[in-house]
Amino acid sequence: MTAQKLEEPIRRLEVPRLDALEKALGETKYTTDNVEEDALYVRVVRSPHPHALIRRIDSSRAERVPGVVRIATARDIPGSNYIGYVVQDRPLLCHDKVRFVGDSVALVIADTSESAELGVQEVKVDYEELPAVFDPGEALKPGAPKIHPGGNLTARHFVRLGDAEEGLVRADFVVRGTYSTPIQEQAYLETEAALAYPKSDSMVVLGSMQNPFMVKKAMATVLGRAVPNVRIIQAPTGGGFGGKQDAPDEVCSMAALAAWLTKRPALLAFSREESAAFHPKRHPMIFDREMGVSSDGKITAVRASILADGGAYASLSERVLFVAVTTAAGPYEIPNVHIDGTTVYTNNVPMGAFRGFGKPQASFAAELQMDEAAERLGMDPAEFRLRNILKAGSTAPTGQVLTSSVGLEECLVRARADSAWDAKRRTGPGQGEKKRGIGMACTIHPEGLNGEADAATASVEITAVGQVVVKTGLTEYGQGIHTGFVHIVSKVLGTSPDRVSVVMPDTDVVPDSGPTVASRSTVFGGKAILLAAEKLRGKLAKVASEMLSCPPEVIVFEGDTARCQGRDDGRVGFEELVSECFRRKLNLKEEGTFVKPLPFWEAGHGDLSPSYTFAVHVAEVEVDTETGKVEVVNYTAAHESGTVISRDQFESQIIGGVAQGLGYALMEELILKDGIIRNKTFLDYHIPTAADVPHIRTIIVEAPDDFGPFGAKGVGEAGIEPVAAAVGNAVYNALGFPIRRFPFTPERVYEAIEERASRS
Amino acid sequence: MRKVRVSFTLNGLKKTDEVEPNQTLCDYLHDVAGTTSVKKGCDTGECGACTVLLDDMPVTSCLVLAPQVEGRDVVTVEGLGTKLVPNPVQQAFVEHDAVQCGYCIPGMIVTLSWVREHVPRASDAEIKRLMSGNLCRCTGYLQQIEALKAAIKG
Repeated sequence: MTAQKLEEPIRRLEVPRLDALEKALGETKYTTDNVEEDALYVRVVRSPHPHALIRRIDSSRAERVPGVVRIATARDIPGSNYIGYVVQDRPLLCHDKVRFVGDSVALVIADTSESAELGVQEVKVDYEELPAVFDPGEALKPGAPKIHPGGNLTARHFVRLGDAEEGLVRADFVVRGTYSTPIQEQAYLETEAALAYPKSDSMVVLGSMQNPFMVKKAMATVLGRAVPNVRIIQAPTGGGFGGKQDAPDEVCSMAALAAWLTKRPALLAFSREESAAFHPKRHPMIFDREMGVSSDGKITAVRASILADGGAYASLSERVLFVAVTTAAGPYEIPNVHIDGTTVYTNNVPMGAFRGFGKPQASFAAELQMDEAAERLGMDPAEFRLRNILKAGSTAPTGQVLTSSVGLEECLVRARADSAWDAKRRTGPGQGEKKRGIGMACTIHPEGLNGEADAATASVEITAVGQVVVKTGLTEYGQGIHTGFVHIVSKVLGTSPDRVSVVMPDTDVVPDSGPTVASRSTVFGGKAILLAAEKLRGKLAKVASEMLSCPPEVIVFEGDTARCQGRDDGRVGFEELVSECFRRKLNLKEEGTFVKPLPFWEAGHGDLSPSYTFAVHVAEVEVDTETGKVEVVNYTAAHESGTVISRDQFESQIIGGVAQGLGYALMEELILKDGIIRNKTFLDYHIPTAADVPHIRTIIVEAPDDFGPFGAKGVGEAGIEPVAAAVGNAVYNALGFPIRRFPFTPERVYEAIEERASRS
Repeated sequence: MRKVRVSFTLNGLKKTDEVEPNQTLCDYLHDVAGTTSVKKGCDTGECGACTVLLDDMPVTSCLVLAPQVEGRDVVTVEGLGTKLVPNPVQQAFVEHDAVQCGYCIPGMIVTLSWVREHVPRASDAEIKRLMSGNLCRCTGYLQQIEALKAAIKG
């Protein structure tokens, strides 16, 4: 891409990330940086077949490889072999059959990683190949190979509002299309790793993960009664993006099994190829979608069916499908909605959680179709969106009346102005071989675990020397969430941020705050921490009021002191106040719990969340019609996420999300042929380099509501959600016709141009 | 395999060690020499997380064999700065929120400290080209470019 002038320098931080300097100095110890001399190395024997029965596993030759200490198969598992988030359908080690290329069959445990690797080559597995199915459409047909005992249907979800049939009939016109989305690989720089230490009656595992309490549950299942106590410590984690939501359950359990069998510390760390072969990825989805529109530009109905390929195991497919189905109509007022979604098992690599969680797919289909309808109307796509956009008080396509803040319209208006949208749409694509285009897309993001009850617990404690310690099970893997928690606590207690620290999650030390997923940490963890800190402030205020002789309600905490409001004469320092509390034997440890009750959801409609975040993105592209190359030359991202706790980190989340989205839009596509991944390495699976990311203009729209801490909402995922759609609409604007599948690689775009030319 | 004796300089200190002839410099530095900042992200020279300076040139240490450093000078990010005296690029990364998960950061800072020393007048396009051998999946790079430019300005 052409280099953009970075005209708006990013401002310097007021409070730097807690872990930034240590990471910049190279001092941070990730999982594999902690390996001691006596550790054993574990490697996994993987299936070369997409679908096969295991007749026999012969490990005798492998056991004789010098350095090999032990081979483990399913028979060595003391507890249950079956784990999984939603459905417990995934064996830790396959014993009767394998369901995808890369499925785990046995562990080789050795003194060195080289010996373990040699051992893997000597484990002889006698397979009986079975017919396999790779196409999600074929998987549900009668006679298709049955992957699990219950068949190939993983889950269905639907949305019903009004009468879509009637709404389509009454429309002045209906736009129809089939849209498909690629498999995206998380490609975190640190691959999966776990280091297990056996103790006399317990097992301690240090690992790279998002959810230590989920890992604890899985490990307890696998080890069963053989190990009464399991303790999980999250090591600094080199990226997750959803990929480390459930995969660490298996990686940590395998390391723990090896350590339990050998009574020695055991390390399991994946190579790049194994990482690509193993962990669940972004679902490819196909949307058959139709939208009815009246001549005055109002959407009358949306009807869509969604088919998702979930791969060989359920992972998070059912949840991802629910999110895709419930956001598939887009952030618009639509009186008649009929969405059906299905996710199926195939013999492909499993699909699961990835930042955005079904929304990047749903947004692509919805937003491309919005532009197709706008073209039919002869209306500017921004104008068409404004006529239908959700506002506070609107009824969402799921039937929920939005009572919290909705900053979507302001996002659109500001993104439109700042990107010079109107002028650029008027200018048009130009006459040369290189065509310019500008496109827009919106996203809606329900807060917290979608359609589920949600809760987080956290504790805040003040030590005798006035240090404030936050304990939460919510993990830091790059988002900056722990720094955000420090902001919240220091604001409530009026202390300097460097007085506050956040303990690294350890299941023996911190409370379970629920999983670190779904952009929920700031909202749920932050609110739990806020509640705990407010309780502490109440205790401190009481003591301060006696020390300063004024009522506790008027005590103000700021600048590491407490004082009486409206009075300048007396103040007490934070440390002195804490010392006084300790003299009085007050307990300065409080817990906070924040609960979102189970939302109402029945018969295809209901509430997803009390609060939503929104974004509108505008992409500007240049398409070389000679080569098909698409270059993003300008990008604007407007986000409404309530009150912003840390502006710099907020922007960092958006910029990082957009960059990942640009990879998804332009170059990232995991290619499977007969279940075999053809591009497992960075050599052939390309992610954006610095040269691929244009200038990204961020716009922050603040529309607080009373749900999260200080009115904050989540921001982790929204940045990636509308990107492929915005780029898709920009390409549409440049070429004059939509391309309904991506990534927009030169080959695909060139072929689309050729095909269009041959038809006309 | 018989071990090979190598003498070289690591972060300014003379070092002599017996190494496996087929061991990569990345594995040697991370697993044996204790410089755990040298990260393995791919082991095939594509991600840049294991970048070190070899005779003052950035190289991916997973594509260098340990015996090849005989008589040469190796610098990892540990050798660029300390908590009390960080390298200007390290300091700027903190101030510009250029660090997220941190796994790519040691390699990225090795490359960018070299750019600061040797190509301080690089244009934005040149900076982007020079850092395109170091992949980062979290940040989107823009803060890192700003950090480098601030470190160059001083």
